[in-house]
Amino acid sequence: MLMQFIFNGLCAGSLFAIMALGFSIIYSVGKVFHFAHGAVYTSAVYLLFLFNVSLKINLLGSLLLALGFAVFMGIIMDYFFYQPLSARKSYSTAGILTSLGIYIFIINLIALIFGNETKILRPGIEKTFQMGTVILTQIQLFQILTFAVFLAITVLALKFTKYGHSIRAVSENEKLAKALGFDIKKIRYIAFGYGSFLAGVAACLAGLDVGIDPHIGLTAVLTAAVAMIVGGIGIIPAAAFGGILIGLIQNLAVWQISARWQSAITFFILLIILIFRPQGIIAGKKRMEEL
Amino acid sequence: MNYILHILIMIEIYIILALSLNLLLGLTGLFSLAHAAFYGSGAYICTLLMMKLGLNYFAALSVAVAGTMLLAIIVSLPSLRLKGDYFILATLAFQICIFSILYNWIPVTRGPYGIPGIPSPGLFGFEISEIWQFFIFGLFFSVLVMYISGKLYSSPFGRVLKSIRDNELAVLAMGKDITKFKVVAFVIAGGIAAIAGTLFAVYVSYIDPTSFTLDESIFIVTIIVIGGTGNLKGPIAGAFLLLIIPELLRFLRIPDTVAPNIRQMLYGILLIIIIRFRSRGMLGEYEYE
Repeated sequence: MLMQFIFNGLCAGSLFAIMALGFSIIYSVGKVFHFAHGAVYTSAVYLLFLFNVSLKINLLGSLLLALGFAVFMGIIMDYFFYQPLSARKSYSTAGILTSLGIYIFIINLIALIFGNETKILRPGIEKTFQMGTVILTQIQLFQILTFAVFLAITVLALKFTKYGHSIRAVSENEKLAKALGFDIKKIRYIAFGYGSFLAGVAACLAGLDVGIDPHIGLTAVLTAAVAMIVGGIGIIPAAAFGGILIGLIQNLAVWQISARWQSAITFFILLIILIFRPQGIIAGKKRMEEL
Repeated sequence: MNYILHILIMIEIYIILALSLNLLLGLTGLFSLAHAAFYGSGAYICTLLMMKLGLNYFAALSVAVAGTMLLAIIVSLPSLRLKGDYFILATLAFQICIFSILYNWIPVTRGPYGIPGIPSPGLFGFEISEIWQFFIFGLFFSVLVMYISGKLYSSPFGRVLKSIRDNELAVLAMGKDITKFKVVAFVIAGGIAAIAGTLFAVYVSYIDPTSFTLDESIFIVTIIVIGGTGNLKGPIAGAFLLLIIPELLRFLRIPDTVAPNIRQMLYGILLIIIIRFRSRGMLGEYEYE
């Protein structure tokens, strides 16, 4: 039983981790608490539903269209909403309120078009694999694999590519990066685009596994934010660690206590971390006051 | 007539909530997403005391306010060590934990089934049961809260809160105990929100946890951001505007199935526009950073 719950936790955690990586990249570069990341998540999975189920385009084509649209959404949100605030030197509160506004608008637009009820992307029974005592479905294996691939790509890109270096430079000191001639706008677009792409990936993987409704994005973005803080701000891959950890703890809690307390447990972990180790488990170099 | 009175009673309740949050966001600059938790805590404590112990409304109200103030202390202490986004996330965490308790602690709160048949408040043997009586009852409380808030904003205490909002370091340098001021602001705001909760419970005579969700917290924030913060008139104008919008949609003959979504979309657009072009809201005095 324990092994089964650990594997389920790893699968759930993989999705949290993909989402958290995107959230963390956007937070580090854009310096905005991007609530609307949850709206990108919901939009991606509903577009996948629209293309694949309603318009009968094949799965791969629908995925590419949905992910492309997610990237586009991320970039235009930055262009139209966050950059003007950033130019005005408005940060925390104005950013989060704008982001909430965007989130509320998009989610209700989706509910208006598709309805509030739960939709299923892939009806039928999933192929399963047995590994010892653990049973895994095909899509669950795919979730873990996708996470491993994107974690590797993200870590390598941040470490070895020019754009990765720029993202780290801007996240550590935006003013200095600007003075050194970095094109801040371009780096922001890359961060928002790639972050939203990851949100789309997580959303589509979740949608292929379980039912979707317009409100799934909120839990997803809040869990991502918790994962980022639990992991540690300042080191982008730490968010992935936070995501996996939350996935494991949630599933062990389901096993030991009850599924009903899942969200309370997630946020209880957050409170404990905020009180005793606000810099996160894998501590960044910065202290929280400097952020 | 009853329809108009119903809307006015809801506006009274939201004015109380808006003024309560104004004390945190508008005066002290603390962006809290836990307000629906205080609102719900007031409603639930009051209801349980009236129904399980048979207390009268005013006794239950006092305990509900005191209990919620205690809760506010618990919420404020860890939150206050944090700044900016961390603070917001901590209040959000409390909101979700408290909602989870209301929803899952079924032996006490009846969870998703809700508590029906909450008795009307009695006053010296006189029972408040007609809708116009509720209107006057609510008016009494909302005017009381307006009066207290007005006094508070211009008091030395209120001025210290405003200076914490504008320049925390300067206040610290003046030798004020910032944490103490923030905790007191939180406690007063929690107590006021609890009053609104008890009014809601006895007026609707049914409560369930879905009235006290994170969405509700966001709605209260939306009210005061759009109306404006830092003074009395902003939050009051916000409560009027945001509660009248859904009724206007009704007159535009928008079908009931889509009206809630269109209403929410309007709130979202208003929020974005206000922050972008007039960040002190319609009638407020404080601009967000």
